[in-house]
Amino acid sequence: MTWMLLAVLALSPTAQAEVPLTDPPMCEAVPDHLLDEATDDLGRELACPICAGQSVSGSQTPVALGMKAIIREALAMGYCPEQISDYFVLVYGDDVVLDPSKRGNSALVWLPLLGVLVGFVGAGIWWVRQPKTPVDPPEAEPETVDNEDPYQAQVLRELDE
Amino acid sequence: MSGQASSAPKGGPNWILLIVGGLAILGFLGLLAFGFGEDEQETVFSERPAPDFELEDLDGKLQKLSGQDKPVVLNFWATWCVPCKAEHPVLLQNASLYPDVQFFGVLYGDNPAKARAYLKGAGSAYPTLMDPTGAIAAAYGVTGVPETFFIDDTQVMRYRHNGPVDMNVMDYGLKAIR
Repeated sequence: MTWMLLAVLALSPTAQAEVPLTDPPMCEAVPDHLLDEATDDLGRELACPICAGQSVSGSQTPVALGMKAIIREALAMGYCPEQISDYFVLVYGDDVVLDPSKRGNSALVWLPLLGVLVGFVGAGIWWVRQPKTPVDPPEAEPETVDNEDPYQAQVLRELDE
Repeated sequence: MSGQASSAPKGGPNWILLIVGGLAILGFLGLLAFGFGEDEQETVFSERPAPDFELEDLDGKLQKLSGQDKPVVLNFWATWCVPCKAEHPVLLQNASLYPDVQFFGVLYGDNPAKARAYLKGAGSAYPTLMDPTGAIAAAYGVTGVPETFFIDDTQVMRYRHNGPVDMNVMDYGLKAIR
């Protein structure tokens, strides 16, 4: 019943999503038959702000549904995906973009990866430059004669006598 | 002794490891300092024009932000949200105290029938708007309820508050917009 009511409201003209972007649209309007796909594509690039590791497309939370409504409406009006992403970055911060930006403070998240890369290269150089010491063959163990058997020794002694 | 001295590692490789390790530590500290050092959620999106809206309230009347000639307090709430119910008397009281400020509630992820029933019992002093697609909440950057926005009479957002409001928060927010 609740969802039926919400669906009726969503279809009513007064419930149309408001596009909060104020700059003029910079792209071609996405035609109706491609809107779902285009909305889903951009939704996959944006993180649901209240979910753990879920994209906007993959989430059914009120926030994600609201973001999808804005994306759809904005694409239909001719806003570029970048313009829409920039708006959500303004509202929710850099973390809303699933592929972190390589500029500004977000570039810092790439530092550990760079550190690991430099570490591997450094370790490789260190390994190549290690002095190759010749490997000595293992010393052959001296042959031991098993003549410690006390019984055998006693027999030998008695035979000698 | 001489055997120990001859087996000590040579200087070159250690320097490389030290530099690599130092860079990694510096990078990590940089992340801590710049990445997590400040709570941007509190400051982002304030001092900017508030997103306009045109929404129907629970009585079926259209309400717009852009038509307002006085400051606005916009409170996102839901009947399933316990802190929202806790702050409701504070909002009612402030709406009565400050008739020069337009208060709006915005229903977030909730059923209008439940909201009507709740307000019938708890009292209502200002319109509650329906945001069925959640687009207005997303436009304002709402992540959960309750969340309250203080917008001045030029429709510029001056303050936002996550969580339930109390009299101190209301005083602070209202001073910013009146």
